[in-house]
Amino acid sequence: MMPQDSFINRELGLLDFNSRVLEEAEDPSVPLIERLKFIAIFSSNLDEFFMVRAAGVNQQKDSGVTAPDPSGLTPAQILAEIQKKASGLVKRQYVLLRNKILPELEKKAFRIIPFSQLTPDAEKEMEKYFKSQVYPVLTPVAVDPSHPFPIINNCSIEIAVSLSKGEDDNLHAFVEVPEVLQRFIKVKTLSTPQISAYVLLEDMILAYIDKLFVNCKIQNAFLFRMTRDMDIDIDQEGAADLLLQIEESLRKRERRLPIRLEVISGTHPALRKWLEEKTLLRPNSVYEVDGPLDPSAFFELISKEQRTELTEPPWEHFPSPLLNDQETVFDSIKKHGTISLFHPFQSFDPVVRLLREAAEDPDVLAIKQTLYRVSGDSPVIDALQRAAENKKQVTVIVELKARFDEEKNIEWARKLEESGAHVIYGIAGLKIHCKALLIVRREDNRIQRYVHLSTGNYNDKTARLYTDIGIFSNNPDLCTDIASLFNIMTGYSEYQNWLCIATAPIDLHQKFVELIRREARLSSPQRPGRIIAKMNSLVETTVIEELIKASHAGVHIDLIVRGICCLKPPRGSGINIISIVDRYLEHSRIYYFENAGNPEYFLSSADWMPRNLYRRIELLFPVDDPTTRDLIDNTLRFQLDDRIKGRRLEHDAKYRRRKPQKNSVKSQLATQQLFKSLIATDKKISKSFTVISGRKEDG
Amino acid sequence: MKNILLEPIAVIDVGSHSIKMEIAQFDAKGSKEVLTRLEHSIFLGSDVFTKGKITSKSMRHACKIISDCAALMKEYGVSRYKAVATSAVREALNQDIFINRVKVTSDIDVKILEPTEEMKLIFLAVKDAIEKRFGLQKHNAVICNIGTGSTQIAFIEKGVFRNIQTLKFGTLRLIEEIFTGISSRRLKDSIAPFIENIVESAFNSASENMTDMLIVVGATARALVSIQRDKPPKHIATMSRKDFERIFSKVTEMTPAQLVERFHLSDSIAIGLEPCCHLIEQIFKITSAKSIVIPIINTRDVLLRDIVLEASGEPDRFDEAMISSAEFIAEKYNYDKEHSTAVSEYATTLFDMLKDIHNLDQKSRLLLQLAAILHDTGQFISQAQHHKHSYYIVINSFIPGLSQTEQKILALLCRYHRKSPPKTSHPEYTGLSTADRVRVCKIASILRIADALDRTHQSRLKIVKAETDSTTLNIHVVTDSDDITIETWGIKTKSDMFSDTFGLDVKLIGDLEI
Repeated sequence: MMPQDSFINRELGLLDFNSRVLEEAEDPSVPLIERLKFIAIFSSNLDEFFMVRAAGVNQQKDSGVTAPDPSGLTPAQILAEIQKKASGLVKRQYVLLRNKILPELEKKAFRIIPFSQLTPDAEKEMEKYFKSQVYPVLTPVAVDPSHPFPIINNCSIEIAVSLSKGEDDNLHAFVEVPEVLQRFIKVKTLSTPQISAYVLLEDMILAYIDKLFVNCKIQNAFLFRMTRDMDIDIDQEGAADLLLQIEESLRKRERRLPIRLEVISGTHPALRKWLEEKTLLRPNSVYEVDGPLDPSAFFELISKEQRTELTEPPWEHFPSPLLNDQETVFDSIKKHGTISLFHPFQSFDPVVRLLREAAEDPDVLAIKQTLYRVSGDSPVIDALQRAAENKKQVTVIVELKARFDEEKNIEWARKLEESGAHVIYGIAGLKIHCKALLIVRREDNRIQRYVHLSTGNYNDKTARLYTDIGIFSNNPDLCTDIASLFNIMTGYSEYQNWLCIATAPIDLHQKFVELIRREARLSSPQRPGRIIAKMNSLVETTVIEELIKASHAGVHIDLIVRGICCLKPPRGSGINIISIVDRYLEHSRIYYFENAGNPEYFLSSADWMPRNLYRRIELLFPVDDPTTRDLIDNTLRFQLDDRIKGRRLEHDAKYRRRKPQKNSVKSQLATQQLFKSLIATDKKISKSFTVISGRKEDG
Repeated sequence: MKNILLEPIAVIDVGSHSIKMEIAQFDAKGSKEVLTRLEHSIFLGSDVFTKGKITSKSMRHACKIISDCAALMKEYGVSRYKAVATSAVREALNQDIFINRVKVTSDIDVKILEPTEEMKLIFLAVKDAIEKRFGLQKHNAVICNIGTGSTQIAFIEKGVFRNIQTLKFGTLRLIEEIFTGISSRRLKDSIAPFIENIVESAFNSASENMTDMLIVVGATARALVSIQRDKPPKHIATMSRKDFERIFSKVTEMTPAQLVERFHLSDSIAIGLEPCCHLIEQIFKITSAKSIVIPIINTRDVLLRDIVLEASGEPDRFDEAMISSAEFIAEKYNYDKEHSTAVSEYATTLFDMLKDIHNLDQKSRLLLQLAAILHDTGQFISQAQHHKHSYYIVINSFIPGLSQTEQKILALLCRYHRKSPPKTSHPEYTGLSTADRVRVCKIASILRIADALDRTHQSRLKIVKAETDSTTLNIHVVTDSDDITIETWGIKTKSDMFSDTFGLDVKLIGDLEI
């Protein structure tokens, strides 16, 4: 067991990540609307943090767990730290929003006007809007001995009202601010072509609150927002029909325990206390905010207020130089063996194109695919549906439990089933997180197989925002392994042996441990070992221990961890940890092992987290194609050299930006330029970029 | 002309404890590309070995797995396949129902793979490689096919197949059938004597020659290789006696769970390792082999090979082995070798000359040849009714490569080589399908003619021509004397069945040899 000071608590690590997101909002070199976007991302991340992570720690504490985590903190201590850290972050966020971002936006794009400052004309306009659009959908709920305390929906904005009616002066009621309505209401009378004016929906409802309670006197009214424990927990052993069960559990969600209460500063203390008591809120769970509740709603406004001068210029999604319109994707794969796509620098279209071609190709016999998170009107689903209608054997393994996407998933899964596809709803107890596509095609009376494997989901929308790497391949061993993996996921077969892949929960953890240990074993002072691992989160304890041991054996370890990192790099160790937060969400998982000069490259759907290694079906696959390896080398090098968007985790558990140097790069920009140059010159990638083996010292 | 099979093909192996499928394709050079595999555990073995039949629950389970196989075959566009069932189904009282249920639910035809056929396929698959490396010709070898439900031991003397014994021993069966419910301590103590007993009796009844080469096949044996070394060789592994003993003690020290974890084995393999080692140890004791040869090959490889070979239209080169083991049996019953050789010679010559009228396949020719060797073995018991004695001997002997039906046909051919032709009152005969009954009649008729031609047991004739007109078959023979009276008389008494079967009289025409 490693000492506790090698570890960082996981929840606090996640808050650290959110802090880095907030830094992007604070960065004056980032265009204004993008900064607002980071504010919104911060809020939605924090909501999920409370719904899932903080909820989990609360559950632990409630069930009497007192054992410390690897960093030495008990659940109670963790909760206290969360409270401290989260409050600080929220305060930073609102100060930034109120003092910097909103005032600057007022000068350049839009302003949000308090209801009390409306001109009479504007007020008239708003009253008309209220009467026609808002009032009909409002539902006040009274709280009195004859009505039970209502269920307060997770994360919706609510108004608590205290009122009197005749002699009865201790009445309470709730009004939910309806999510179906626009949060930001444009005030036409006050808008100019340059600057739009908006009021907040909740301000409007508060202004007309007396219209909802006839013959009553409003004593007080205030806004709040409740976050509940939404960590979905399904008893899969007894689940006869997972689909029905998920629908059921979605309904149950509304009754989960409250985790956080957000109120606006200056709220009436008595009314607030009453609410805390009534909702069984735990102490230290109230967060006061100095500005509008739920800033994630700014996404809505951003989509309305497109100002090119205030946003990052859009980046092109380049085509792959190895694909062209004159031949099918099948033919291109056959020609090159392996073709990689680095999203979003390169377009996701070829994946959709391959599926569309397969759907119409008379020689295609079968298509199998895992689907985790797909977009609403997904071209992937359309192509699969088309293939099923064309009598191909279509098998789709659907993970219904992608967090918070369940409702969307059920809808398209049903749609696919109706078209004749064989839809499999997950495996009891294991979330299917690997991203794989297998196509079986008859060519000259023989079978040829094609796979597409990726670090990211089959989602055409997120492929424009998340950095992921996908590869097409016809490598027979890889295809056989993927076919076997599908046979396991469809319940056709039990595990046998893999030829070249590793999977969770079968052997992935062991594989990683073995790879790290091998690197340590092969490391010598003359030829130190080298590991470069890029992932979203590093949490799993035994992997962290193995990494530290490997570093003691002299292995140089570079970790590029976007989100949570529970490994605190020991002082003076060969462990270098970088986190990159930039315009695209870093999402690819890359694992590189130098293997004494015979390097191995892997891509994976898995992070080094317990859930990936033990509780999900995950895939690790090798990359042998020299072109793809060169591209990976280049992108990793850019990231390790990124002193602008990259922060380094130091031995005091703090993330710091390193001093920019003359040749400092923004890794995402450099990567974008790299893929642009591939198209422009149609040349092989310059080898001069490749400096991965032979470690370059960090200055 | 050799046909090369390039399309994807599949094999399904319904074993005692698992159902496995492999879909593969071969290229023009004969190298195999595996397209996909399936493996699922099942409890047919524990049903059959304890209750005698497959329970309806297991039957449902097996049907589901096999229909999954059928679904995969569709996905890969497979139309040519072999589906075989081994020990559990082979021994199940309700095997017909099982096979029919599978057919109805997934349209897959499962065939029972007889131990002798299985051994034949294994022998053919490993023969050349072993010959090349170890010189099979110089050794008396046993091939031991250790399964979870049963074990076959084939005795190969100087490269020739001699005998095959099936043991009701399987790596998992042992525990299920015999030692259910006893403590693991007592289990350990009981295994060795139990195995010693069955191995000894198998060797005693099979061979008098000292075995000096031990070839072991089966998944559990292959697991021993993966315990022995990290990277097992691709085709054939060897393990010295000392290495074996080291691995055996390792296996005994570790629990199955530890074995699974340490060596990445499946549970059923891990559980079966200890019984498997006991068996090998016993065989070591009884032989002078210094090491074990373990071919890295499984039933699916062997069956895939067989599909390709069948499609190529080439003979499988196993006839020799079958003839040799028929001779081995015949020797045991003191047969008249010269007579048998002569009858065999005449019979096959006639068979080849009369192709147009009998229209039988190569397998029938082989059965005729085997019957020619074995037809008189019954004389060992008594001259009187010796055709019936030959029948018992053949029906109770092992000849590798024959299916159960083929063995029945062979025994009936011996029975009908003289005296009464087949009658509906003969249950062994009426138990055959119509096609097989016709086959028996045709082959036995030819055998009778051939037997008549060596009436003197001196093999003095040579057939030069056989021609037919609308009523008669004329057999032209040459001989060193001009007297063919005995043979002519023989033909007269033994050609009734031929006439009834083919509608032709038989006439012998003799010429002096020049």
